[in-house]
Amino acid sequence: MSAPYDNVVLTAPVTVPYERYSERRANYWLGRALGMLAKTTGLDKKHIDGLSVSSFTLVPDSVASLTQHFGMTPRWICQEHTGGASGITALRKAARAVQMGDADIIACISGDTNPKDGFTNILDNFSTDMSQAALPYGAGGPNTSFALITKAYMEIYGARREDFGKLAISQRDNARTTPHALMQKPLSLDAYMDARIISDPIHLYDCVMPCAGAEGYLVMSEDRARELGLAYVYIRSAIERHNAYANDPVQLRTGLAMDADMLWQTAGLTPRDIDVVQTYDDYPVISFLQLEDLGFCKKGEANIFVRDHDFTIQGDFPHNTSGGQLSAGQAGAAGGFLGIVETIRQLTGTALGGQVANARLGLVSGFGIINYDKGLSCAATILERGQ
Amino acid sequence: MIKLQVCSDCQNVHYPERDICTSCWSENLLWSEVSAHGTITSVTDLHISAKPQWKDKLPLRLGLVALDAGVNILAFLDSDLCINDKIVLCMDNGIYSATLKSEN
Repeated sequence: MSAPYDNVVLTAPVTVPYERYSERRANYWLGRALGMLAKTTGLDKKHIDGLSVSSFTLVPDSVASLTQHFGMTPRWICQEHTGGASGITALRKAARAVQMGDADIIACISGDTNPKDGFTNILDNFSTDMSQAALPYGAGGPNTSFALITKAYMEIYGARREDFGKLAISQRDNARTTPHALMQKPLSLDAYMDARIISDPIHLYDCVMPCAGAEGYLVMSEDRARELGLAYVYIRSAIERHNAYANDPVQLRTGLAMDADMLWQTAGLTPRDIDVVQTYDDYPVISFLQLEDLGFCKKGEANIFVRDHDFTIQGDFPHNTSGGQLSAGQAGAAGGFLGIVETIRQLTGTALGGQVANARLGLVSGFGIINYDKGLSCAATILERGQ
Repeated sequence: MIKLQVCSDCQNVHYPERDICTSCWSENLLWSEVSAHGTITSVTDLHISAKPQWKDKLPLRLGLVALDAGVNILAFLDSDLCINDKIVLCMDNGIYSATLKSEN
């Protein structure tokens, strides 16, 4: 069991409103997030002495070169390369750095640009395995990898497209209350089922829309957050795992399954205690795997869990309350921050859209870096409203 | 048979290409013949490609193959192949395709 995250908090959730396409650099989107962090907290930028960055389109720049772009002189920097898990892996490192005194206030930011050919460029430069073992097979990108996982999941566990549809539709309902969500039109089950086929059984509304945008939050001591008068959340527990179950022929479980017991034990909580849940939803099946691996339901039963619960903001299992990536859009690596930022808002009563009533405990999970057959990185955290 | 990287020290088989053995971290990886037999673990018909050069060839039948030698390979499939079918893999210019394994 890892040491508790005492006297360290997350605060100041910010979102740079998403745009479908952008010809600006990632530097612009990341810089906008920093600007919003300073503005919403009233902090002078010289007090932000730590910087953690996650971005796919930042190359050839890095977090070190960004310090010059942003006129910062931090004493702690970190760059996350865990994609959909980056919001949580950033949090884990930043929280420890603050606890140990290596930095006082760390800005954790994530963002990407999205020019017209942006997504193809990300694929071409994603990883050697993707270039060698996935793209030569029709260049379907992640649609292919997740179609294969979804197909195997349906075949083995008997999930139906309607089950994935229910998740997507409830997220669209949630998105319609969220100002920056790119997709605001209501989604019906008929429209979901009849959507254009992408890579069987993946259809259009199973896929995220790549866009430009950024997300961010600050990590600091509880004392400092109080001094500054900021609403904040505690970290009750946090886990990460990479390249788990490497010999599984198809990814029907994530590395979360290896550490979920520790996640709950450290927090002293059970899944029933959680008021609001955000999973990484680049495709519905991945949310299903996370719900199972974290113990909200048994393996292979997320389809039944979805049928039995209401995932909307007013429902009995509020999930991806800002619409998730499926309806808000996927601003590159910022998709890995969406859940953290939204959970800080929900627990501090500052949701931009629908607010879950009396939300005190939130769970966020992330999943990322699909190489050619499996997503390699996963992480989860349990957050609690500060007192 | 197909050629894949096999570790001379622990016989671990690798795909995609590796620089060091994933099992024992030996640098002695040799391209060696291994069985081309495997089982299809998932399939998809790809209708949309990120690259224009594929446009005229869509849809494509693709599948994930669990090779008996112990690695997973994404491959082009004959159109009638399904999950759990036993297949033989062949490789041309680094690209793998699967055909149904004959009964005998």
